[in-house]
Amino acid sequence: MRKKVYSLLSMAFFLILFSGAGWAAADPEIEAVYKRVVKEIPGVSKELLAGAKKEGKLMIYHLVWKEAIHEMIKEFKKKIPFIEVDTFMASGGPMHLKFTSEVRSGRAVADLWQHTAPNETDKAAREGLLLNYVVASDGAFPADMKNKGWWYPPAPHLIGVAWNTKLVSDKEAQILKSWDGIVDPRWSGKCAMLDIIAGGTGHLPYYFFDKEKGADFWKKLQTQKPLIFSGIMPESERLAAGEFSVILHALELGPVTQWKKGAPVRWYFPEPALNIPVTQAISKIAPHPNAAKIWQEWTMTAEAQTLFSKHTGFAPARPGAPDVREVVKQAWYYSPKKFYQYKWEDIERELPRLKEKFKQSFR
Amino acid sequence: MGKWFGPLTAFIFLLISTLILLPLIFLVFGAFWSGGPGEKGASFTWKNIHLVYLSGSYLSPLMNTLKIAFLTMVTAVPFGALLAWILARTNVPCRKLLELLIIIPIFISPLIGALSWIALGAPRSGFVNVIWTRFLGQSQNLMNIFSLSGIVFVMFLYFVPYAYLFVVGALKNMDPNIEDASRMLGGGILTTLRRVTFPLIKPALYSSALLIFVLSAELFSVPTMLGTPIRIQTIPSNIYYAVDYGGGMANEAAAAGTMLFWITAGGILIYYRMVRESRRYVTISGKGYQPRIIDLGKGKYIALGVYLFYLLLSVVLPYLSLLLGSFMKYMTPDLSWQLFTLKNYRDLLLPENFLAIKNTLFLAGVGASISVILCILVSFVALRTKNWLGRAVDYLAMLPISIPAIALAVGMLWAYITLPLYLYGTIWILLVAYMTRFLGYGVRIFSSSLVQIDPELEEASRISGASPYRTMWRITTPLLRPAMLSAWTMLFIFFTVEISASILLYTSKSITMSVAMWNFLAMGGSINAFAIGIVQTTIVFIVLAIAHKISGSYAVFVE
Repeated sequence: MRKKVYSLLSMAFFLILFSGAGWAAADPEIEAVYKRVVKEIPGVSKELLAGAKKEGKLMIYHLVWKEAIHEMIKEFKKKIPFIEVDTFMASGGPMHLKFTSEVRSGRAVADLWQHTAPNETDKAAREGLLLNYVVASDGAFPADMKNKGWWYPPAPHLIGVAWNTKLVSDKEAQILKSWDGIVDPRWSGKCAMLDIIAGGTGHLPYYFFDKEKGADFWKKLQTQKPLIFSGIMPESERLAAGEFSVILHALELGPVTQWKKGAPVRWYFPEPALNIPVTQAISKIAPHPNAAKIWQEWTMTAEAQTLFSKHTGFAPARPGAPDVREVVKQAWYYSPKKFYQYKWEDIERELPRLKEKFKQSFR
Repeated sequence: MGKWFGPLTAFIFLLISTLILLPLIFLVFGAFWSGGPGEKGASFTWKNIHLVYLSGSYLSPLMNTLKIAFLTMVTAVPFGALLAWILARTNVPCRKLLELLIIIPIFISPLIGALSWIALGAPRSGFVNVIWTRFLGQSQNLMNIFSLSGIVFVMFLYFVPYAYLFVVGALKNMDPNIEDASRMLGGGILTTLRRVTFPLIKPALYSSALLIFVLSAELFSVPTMLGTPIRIQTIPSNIYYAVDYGGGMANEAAAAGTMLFWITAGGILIYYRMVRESRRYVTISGKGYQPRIIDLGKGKYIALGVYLFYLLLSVVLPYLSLLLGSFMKYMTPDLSWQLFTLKNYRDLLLPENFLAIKNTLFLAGVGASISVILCILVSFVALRTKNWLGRAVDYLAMLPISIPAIALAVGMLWAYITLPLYLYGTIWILLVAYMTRFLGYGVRIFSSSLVQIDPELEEASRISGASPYRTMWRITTPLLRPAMLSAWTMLFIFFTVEISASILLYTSKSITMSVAMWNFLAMGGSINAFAIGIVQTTIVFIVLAIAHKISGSYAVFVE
């Protein structure tokens, strides 16, 4: 009697199990979505889609490019219609503070987190705040633009030299193609630069100047008497207004934002070009991990990288992804070929000394 | 009294202890910790405290902070008091209109004020300097906003109405017979002002001086925007950098937050001593009176000129620059038709911006109303309860004033995230944060009014058989009506422009106008922020005008 009951129960269990699996496999929406996106988003599987559909939501903590994220979400929804995407936007510091505090206290709010400082994202990975997930496009990114499985770059932060075209002639601007051009005496009292304490984009140039360009370069930089700005946006805005002629090291985001509005600004990338990848990682306690993985997979495809680049104004981070920005059609614009190789650990180690040196030289 | 007020005092003490001490405990903990709460590998450390107090790196920022706060205070308070006296006690023309206009500078947040003055007063590209040099043919610039005097100038313009709001209430509550007596005894206008009026408005002057000193010392936007280019660093700007750029440097921000605490706590203690002396200046007694208006003769036009010049600098020029900038593609003094666009306003037509307006009005309206009730209760307990709990409540309420807003916001974030509070992630957490941050300001307004009310009035009520609660409701509260209006207005504006706590605690569902403005600023520069700044300023102005009109208190405010 007991045997019969067990047999019946086992049969019932397997019936439920298989009918469930059959139902999942036969979900026409998942099938249709899978067929549509499998080539566009190579890493997506039916299981991932089924899990994401069950989750139904995605929360992205993104940096200050709302319009671009909205455009990305529109495109994402066309591909994966059953995931509702919510967003939270902040600049790097507050975002880092909020995300890390939430994950440490077990508050599962964010699925994906973008940040501007790879060293901080690496630290978060080491601390166990991130989920390791290797995207299918992993091989498409060079080693210095990712931390395998922990984070991938939705965009690069390229650092160049920007000038106001009403105050600097095309001929004069030619010397800004080289880093040595920024210490030319003609810019003395007519230039600006970012404070060293203004995040990673402030740290890298001074590390590069100190380590690679030598003491004489630093002295000349000092004699330029630059105005010091706390952020790239107010700095670029003043450049566009004609307050000074040149920004000695400018994150491309600043001048490109002004240029898109029609302001008389241009920029070059002296080589070796300085580049900091923006990072995008999945939270260890992501409430919607499947949806997060799909977003991560999609945003690292060439198609999504091009789209993001088009709406932010950055170059695509993925080598080979088409760069369709308006600015690349301009005769004066060129993309850098040679990049400066560095390690964030080295910058972090040198930072206290560099801050003090900056303070003595420029404050 | 003590018996009756025991439960109320205990309740208020517990409530504000929870609100205020929780974030402060987390902040102090953070100053002695090497990471965030719950961070693996983090441990006790003296590093942050050593860096802030002993390394010398914070000495120059400290001196700059004190210098800016002091200069702002000593310029804004006398000028605000002068304007209050002109508008409350003299026959200056169009008084009612002028009284309404003077609080407009507060609507323009200091951040937007700094940005608009950069557009006006930047040495080579500011509109004022361009007009001065290109059109008026002058060889030298008229002004350089990137300077210490530029910082103090912008802060002076912003803080004058605060001094005005404090002093005008005291002047209107004052029995004019005292001044009449002085004049009958041969005292002229100046002698009466110096010997009679000034001592009577001392509590209000001290309150406004304290408020302005503390607000100036903790303000990061103006010194950061105008001081950084010329290497002027302040403690708030260092804290701002540590939080906004460092992320992982929040512990340094916490330690730096404690540094400003000692300064402002010292200021508060001095303030208490001064107010204690001033409590003998009770001016509201059982007698009825009407404030007397002084005829300035032709001097009224000079007074009007002084007022209008202030209004030109604090409202007209910045507002025009905001308005002009909000229609431009990018900021430049080289104006042409091709430069103008409606895009900055079209960008605002996103659903989330409407949500931001709705949330801001909810937080400011409901929050200010709840806070006014809480502030009255706190002030009443603090001033009318003669035991240690009352004094503790008074000191506790002032504590958040002592901490720079960004550092306090970090403490709030750590506290609200770590503790199992269900408010985190909702709009209510913002309400709690705002109430915590601004409680002390509201309490000071009520305290400076309450010390002017003779306790004899309350005693008479109680002798007639009314309970202390009924006395508070029927006697004290109506006498506090002008203070309630001032406090509500001030808190409404504070809540509307609050950014430091909002940026760390908001979600996509609880976004506010200030956060939206901050985001626009971060994304596209100041012109996008100008557009939302114009919308924010206009909405606040309309809402306040309607609220005052509907409540009937508009008349009280203006009269």
